Amino acid sequence: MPAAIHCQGLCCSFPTGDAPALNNVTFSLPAGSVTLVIGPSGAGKSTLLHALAGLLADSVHSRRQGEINIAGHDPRRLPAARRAALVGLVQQSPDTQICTTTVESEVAFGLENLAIESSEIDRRIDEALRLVGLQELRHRQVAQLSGGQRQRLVLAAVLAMRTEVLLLDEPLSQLDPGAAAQFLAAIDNLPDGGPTIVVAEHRTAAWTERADQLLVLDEGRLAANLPRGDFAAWDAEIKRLRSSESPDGPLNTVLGAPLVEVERLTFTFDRRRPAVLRDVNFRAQASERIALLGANGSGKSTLLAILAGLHEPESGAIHFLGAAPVGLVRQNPDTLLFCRTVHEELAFAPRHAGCSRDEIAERVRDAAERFELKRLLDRSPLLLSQGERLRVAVAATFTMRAPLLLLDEPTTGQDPRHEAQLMSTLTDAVAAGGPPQTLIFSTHDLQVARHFADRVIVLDGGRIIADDVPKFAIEAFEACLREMASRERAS
Amino acid sequence: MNWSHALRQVEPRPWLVQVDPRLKLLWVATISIGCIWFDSVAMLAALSFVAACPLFAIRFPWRAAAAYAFIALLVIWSTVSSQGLFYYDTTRPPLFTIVPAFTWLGRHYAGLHFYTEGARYGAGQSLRFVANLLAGSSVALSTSPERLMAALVRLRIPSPLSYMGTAALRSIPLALEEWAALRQAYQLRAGLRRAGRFQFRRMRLLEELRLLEPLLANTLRRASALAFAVQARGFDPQQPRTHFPPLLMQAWEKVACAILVGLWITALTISLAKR
Repeated sequence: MPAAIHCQGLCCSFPTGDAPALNNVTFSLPAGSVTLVIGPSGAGKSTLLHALAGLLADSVHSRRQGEINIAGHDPRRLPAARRAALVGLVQQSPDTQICTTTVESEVAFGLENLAIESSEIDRRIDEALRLVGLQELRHRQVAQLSGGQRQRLVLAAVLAMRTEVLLLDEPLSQLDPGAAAQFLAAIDNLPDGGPTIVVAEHRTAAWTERADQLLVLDEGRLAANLPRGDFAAWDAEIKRLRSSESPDGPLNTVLGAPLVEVERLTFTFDRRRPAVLRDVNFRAQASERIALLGANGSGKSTLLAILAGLHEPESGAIHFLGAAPVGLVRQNPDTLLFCRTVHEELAFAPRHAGCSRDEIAERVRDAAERFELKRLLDRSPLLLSQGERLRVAVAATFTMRAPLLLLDEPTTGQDPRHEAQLMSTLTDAVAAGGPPQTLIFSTHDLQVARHFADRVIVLDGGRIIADDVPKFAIEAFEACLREMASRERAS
Repeated sequence: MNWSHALRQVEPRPWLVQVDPRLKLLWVATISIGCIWFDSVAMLAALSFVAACPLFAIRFPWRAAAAYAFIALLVIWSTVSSQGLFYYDTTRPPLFTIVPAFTWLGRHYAGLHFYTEGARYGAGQSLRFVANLLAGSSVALSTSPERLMAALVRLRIPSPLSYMGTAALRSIPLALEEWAALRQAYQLRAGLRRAGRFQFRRMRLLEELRLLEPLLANTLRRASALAFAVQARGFDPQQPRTHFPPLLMQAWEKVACAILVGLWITALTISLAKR
């Protein structure tokens, strides 16, 4: 049975924050409704969802005031198993919320905690995996699943618990369009009388047709609470803002000298398995901004890693026609930062390149200004927010002044404003003649590819299937996604 | 070599995966008891071979298998040579002399000798370590953490302790993966690795140690995220929980357990009789 949610004067604050994460938030959501929560990074969306899940007081030192009432209970005061049976939470990154190693045991984990009998667990695993379309993968290792399949697995694990409320915290942010569509199809497949759904998401377009209510958070306050009829206008406003940031189509038609040429590149991690990249050919020129598009597992990250010299190609060649080095920013900023302060991070590359003190200081100042890091220079990068850590990681690579800069899904988990800011800074630098002279980035977000790339390369199963201006390449990618979806339906 | 990648390529045979984890734990305990009980180098070598047998049912990338064998041989060689040189028990006939005894400025130096007893003692100690390493590895590489946890709980190990142990086991490949990613980021930004030329200078020890701090921070962050996820799914170590699929021993597994327990009892009886 779905449950209604009532929230009255909710305030939350953390010892490390200057301002409260949530400030006097009051709303009511009817049972069985779908509510979309939007707002910029740091607006309090995740905090609100964690508070509704009753997990704030248990997970971190926080102060919470106000009332939350779900089906007559404050989830914070319930025992763990009872609370988990009432409210289910699906978070942004599947990798941080998978508790076990196989598909079957992952779905069973929550049910075991509810002390449900084995025969019933078996039945519910079947049912939940069928709902999300993973029934064929029941005995697979989690490590063998793609990102999209993992996120659907987490959803299945929560659905199997038959919670009355389902909280989704940016569930689509790390998924390619095809995987996102599959996740949404799983939500659409929920039977009537399914849970009350609250979803926080930057990719609003996917949810506006499904949502009954819109909550807009800004700096911890509830800026708007709109019923279905009103927020179509809000969505149009978001779309207009995003599309006004830059025009469609190629941004730059004047190209410089060739910088890197990839010739018949083939690569495999394990010779017993199919190649990750097959016969890849392309050339990148100075002043080009190239987006790599492709479904999860299509070989985008591997191609970038090979270009950066992290793997040696099995066959084929990469010719660097300009000067090395190459800068690479990988998806998880936590594995890119290793210095004590942000200043040290920014100074690291020029110091190792043998730059003079003045040159180092100039590069640090320039990067801090471009990426809005001036006030964070003395802080430890490990204690910053995820968005800030990503900006530090990009800035620290930027100070290498590498002619070729590679970014692996740089906008994952960023709100539209920060996303636009980060990408504009980099693409503007390329447009101004560099460094970097050439930017190659992988992304799942078609809008980002459309707005910030001159050229889009589409990968499918390790092969390039399109290499064109954004408009035509994205059309090819969408056709490829449709084909993949029909193949999956057929299988 | 990328260890996290190599670990992902380890493939145990399905029958070994299916063996009841309680039997596997009993097997490790039996090998450990054997290590205590046997003193002769030949018997300990035979025990190490027996401990290694299940590993033949696990497919390794050849470089990982070679590295594994190298580590085992390194442990044996280093312990044998150090004990052979520096063994100070009373009965120690030298096998050969490296520096003969001499007197210089009125002081007598006993020389440097390689002692048979020391070498034998070192071989015994290192084989004990290797046998346990091999037996433990075969269980860790062929058992999912969940089944291991279920077995530990059934063996009356407290639930929180069992979960902590299995979560730690599961985090090893993740930590290796993060370590590799941090090293790559360091090498790229420090210019130790250059695209297109594959220039590579090995990282110095101090540079490696520098990565410990972010690695620890990331481990804590991941542990905190896992704790959050586990709580969100209703895990409470103080509350009873079921296990799926339930552990059911097959007849042959019961017989094997009985044989192993029989071996324990025999060893204990003989030890007591000798006293």
